[in-house]
Amino acid sequence: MSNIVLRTNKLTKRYKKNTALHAADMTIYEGDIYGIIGRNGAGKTTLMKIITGLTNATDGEFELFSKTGFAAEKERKRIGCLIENPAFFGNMTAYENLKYYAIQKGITNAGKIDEVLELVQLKDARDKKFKSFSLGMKQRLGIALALLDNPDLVILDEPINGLDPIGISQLRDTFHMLNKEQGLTLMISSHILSELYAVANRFVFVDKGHVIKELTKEELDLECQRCIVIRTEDVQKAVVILENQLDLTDFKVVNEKEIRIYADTIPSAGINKCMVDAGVSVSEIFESGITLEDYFKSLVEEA
Amino acid sequence: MLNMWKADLYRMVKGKGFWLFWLLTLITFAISIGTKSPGGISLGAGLPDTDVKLDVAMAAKNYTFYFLCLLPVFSIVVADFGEKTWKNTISSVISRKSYFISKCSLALGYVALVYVIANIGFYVGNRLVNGEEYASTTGTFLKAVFRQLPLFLGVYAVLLLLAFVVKKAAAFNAIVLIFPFIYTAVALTVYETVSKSFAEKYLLKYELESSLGKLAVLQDNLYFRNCTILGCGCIVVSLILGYRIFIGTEVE
Repeated sequence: MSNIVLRTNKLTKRYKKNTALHAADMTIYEGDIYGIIGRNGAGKTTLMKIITGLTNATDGEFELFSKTGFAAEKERKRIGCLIENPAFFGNMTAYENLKYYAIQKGITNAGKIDEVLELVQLKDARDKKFKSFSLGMKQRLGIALALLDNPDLVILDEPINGLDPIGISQLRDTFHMLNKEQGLTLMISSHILSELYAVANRFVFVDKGHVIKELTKEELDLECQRCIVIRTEDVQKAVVILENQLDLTDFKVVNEKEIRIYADTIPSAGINKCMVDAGVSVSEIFESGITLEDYFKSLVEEA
Repeated sequence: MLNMWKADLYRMVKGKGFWLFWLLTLITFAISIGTKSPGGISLGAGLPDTDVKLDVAMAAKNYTFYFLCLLPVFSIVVADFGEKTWKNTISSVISRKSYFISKCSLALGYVALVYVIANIGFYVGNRLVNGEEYASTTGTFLKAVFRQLPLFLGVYAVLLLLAFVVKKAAAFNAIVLIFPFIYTAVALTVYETVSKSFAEKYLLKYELESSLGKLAVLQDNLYFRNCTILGCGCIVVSLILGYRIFIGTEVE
């Protein structure tokens, strides 16, 4: 298992009567591209704001690079982030804005600014004033700032907002490249599930301030994969039948009442007949397979 | 901290405010030196009738810097809040505490520095152009300027507090530009309607324009002591209050 980059423990944020984040627990490992999925107002930004020090938690704590409390705050230097809208000085160019932050961060390598501008496809706009930028360009500059000092963890809140399809694709490739080649850990939030799915390798679903589920991409694929769902009171006996009589191995016991069969060699009617013949009471059997959106909806409804 | 100062100075010279400050200062100085009479922005506060030379008389008009020094302070602090760029700094560069200390120390330090440098510039320019007849001794002139500094910095500490509280460029500008007029209007209203002695003893006596004038030309040590205590008090209270407010601020 990789090192833990960030772990939250019952992180809570209350604004007067409204609880924006409720006892959120999550873990990000080194090398993860961690996707935070949730609707608008689900608590994604609040979570990121707490980690980056833009707001204080009402309760709970977080561990950043194995440090907690004041020591964790010092580790924020290892974070690059873009939270909500990118903010820069309108009367300064893209290069000057990044130079300002490069000086703040003590970056002496003058080439680093052009390097990150190239990474986000803004090299041609380096001498344009920020106030003349389109929404997509502003977003890219925000990402460039997040990457400026080779951070160990990059936190990006809705980074693809305002980007055109080609821009989104380029950014996705950039994230993958940084993750693979530099071992960069990324935490990315979005409500566009398909895009997040294309980038991340681990996911957390957030709704109404609650962390509903945290899972890997493989687990998510399994959850959404086409399968036959059997619901029965006697899972143990059903498993024996699947293995011994139907010779199936590609299935998963989801809980004490549900089995999912991913093999498509036997139709559901045949499986049902075998179960009934062996005296296993099947309460439900149906074919399933859902989209990411439907999966998210089902999680939200369950919560 | 040093990197923060360097970054803000880099940004300051990229902005118009830095150059506008020196341009307006030079124009004011040039006119005063050329006409051999002190000039600057005034709300009409009467200055003591004393026999001082042009440089000290000009120092008595240093109220102009209340308006001119808004430009660098705006650039260092207010623009960061106005553009919401401060979130970039506190999220991954330094803590809020260091941010506050860095901004306040640079703003007050810079204001003090340009206040002194600009005044010395006038002193040298006046001496070179108009000669000894219009120039005081260096000691007399520096004493006039440095006696003003604690009160002036006290007022600027209050402006910094305001910047950290309102965090909106337009609101900050409106308040600081209107405040001197409102203060004078209130003081005069109190003088006319409520209590003449209270207005004279406190409100009008410590009004910034007349205070700077008196500190420059009068050798009243008791008044200087009171102004220094007032200025230092403003600095301490404003910085403590500003820090407490800023630490608990949410980023919108």
